[in-house]
Amino acid sequence: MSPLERRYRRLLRAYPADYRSGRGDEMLGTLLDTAAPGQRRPSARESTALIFGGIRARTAKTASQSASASLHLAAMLALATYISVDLVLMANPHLASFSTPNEWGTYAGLFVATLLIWFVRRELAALALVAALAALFSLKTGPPLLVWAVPCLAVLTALRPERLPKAWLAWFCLPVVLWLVFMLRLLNRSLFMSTGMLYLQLIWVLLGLFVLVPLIWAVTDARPAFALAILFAGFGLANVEGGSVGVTTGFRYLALSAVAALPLLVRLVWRRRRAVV
Amino acid sequence: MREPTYFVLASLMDGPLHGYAIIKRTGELSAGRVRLATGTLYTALDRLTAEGYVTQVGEEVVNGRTRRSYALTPTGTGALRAEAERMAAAAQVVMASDRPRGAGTRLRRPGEATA
Repeated sequence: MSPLERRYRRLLRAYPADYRSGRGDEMLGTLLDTAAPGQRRPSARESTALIFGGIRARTAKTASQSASASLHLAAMLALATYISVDLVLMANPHLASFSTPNEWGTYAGLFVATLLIWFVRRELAALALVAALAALFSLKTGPPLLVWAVPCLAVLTALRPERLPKAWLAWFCLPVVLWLVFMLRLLNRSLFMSTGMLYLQLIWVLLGLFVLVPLIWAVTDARPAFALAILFAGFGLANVEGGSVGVTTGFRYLALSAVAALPLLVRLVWRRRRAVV
Repeated sequence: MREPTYFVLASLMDGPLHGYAIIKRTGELSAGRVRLATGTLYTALDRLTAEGYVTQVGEEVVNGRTRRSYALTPTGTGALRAEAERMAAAAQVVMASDRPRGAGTRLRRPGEATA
């Protein structure tokens, strides 16, 4: 394989895998046909066209889904994020919502089972739903929203219109990192100093990433950003009515929700204005 | 219709072509004005296929790689003709005018004396 072919193959990774399996070979042939004799590197113009073509192909793939299917997946992602963050908070003994290992284990087990089914097999979703409902009636404890969030996620998983993109698993890095930060604070308090400034900064950086990554991701897929909008709208509405963190914070969440919903609106407008090429 | 789209469709007027041939023919027909990058060509072909203007008509393996040929559909031919007629009518507005350039009336500035 020539260096030029290797570089073109690397650039073609901008396209979705299923697109590459259908068109990749043909495109590579055309790219090599158009290359000048002895050319070793792709031109800047060709590279840019391939990268933007890849983004367009990824956008077209998600844009072809119906609004209801997108909303369904976004709602599932919002619920899953809420549950995973809540589970991390429940595991932190410094917080009032710290629960017994039994409670935590039940919710965590159900959540992980639902996630596995979400990403692996549809048929088993009904079992997770039954287990989630059984847990709801037997425990009757835990953070009030979590008691409903797990069965709701199981219902949406059972009704899901399609298998989720595996890349969405990256979303759950946030709760894992949050948990690691909590554990680090528990194990080594001196690391975070007496004021806890470093700890707070870390939390803010994590939350910033949590908002920024879906917004950047919205270039090819607006659904994670929309999930974020649903999540923040939920927090906002719960607190505007006098929740635990106050009315002002509730409105801030609503404002964040509007920001996160923007990419979806931009894409809807853009799709209407787009020319044939 | 944008210029690259117009010339991609025009390149297929004389019969089916594969990707590389479309790029070459597009350059020839536009006198070098439209230089399609491969990524741009396939994005255009995806769109034009989805719109029903172009269809894939053949597939062969050359040097171990798939090479597909594309052809204009009747819808594509109609769209190309309609665009050509629109541009011809637009050109006619300028070309058919026998007035010398700049000889038309122009608005006088406030305070400008009349001839």
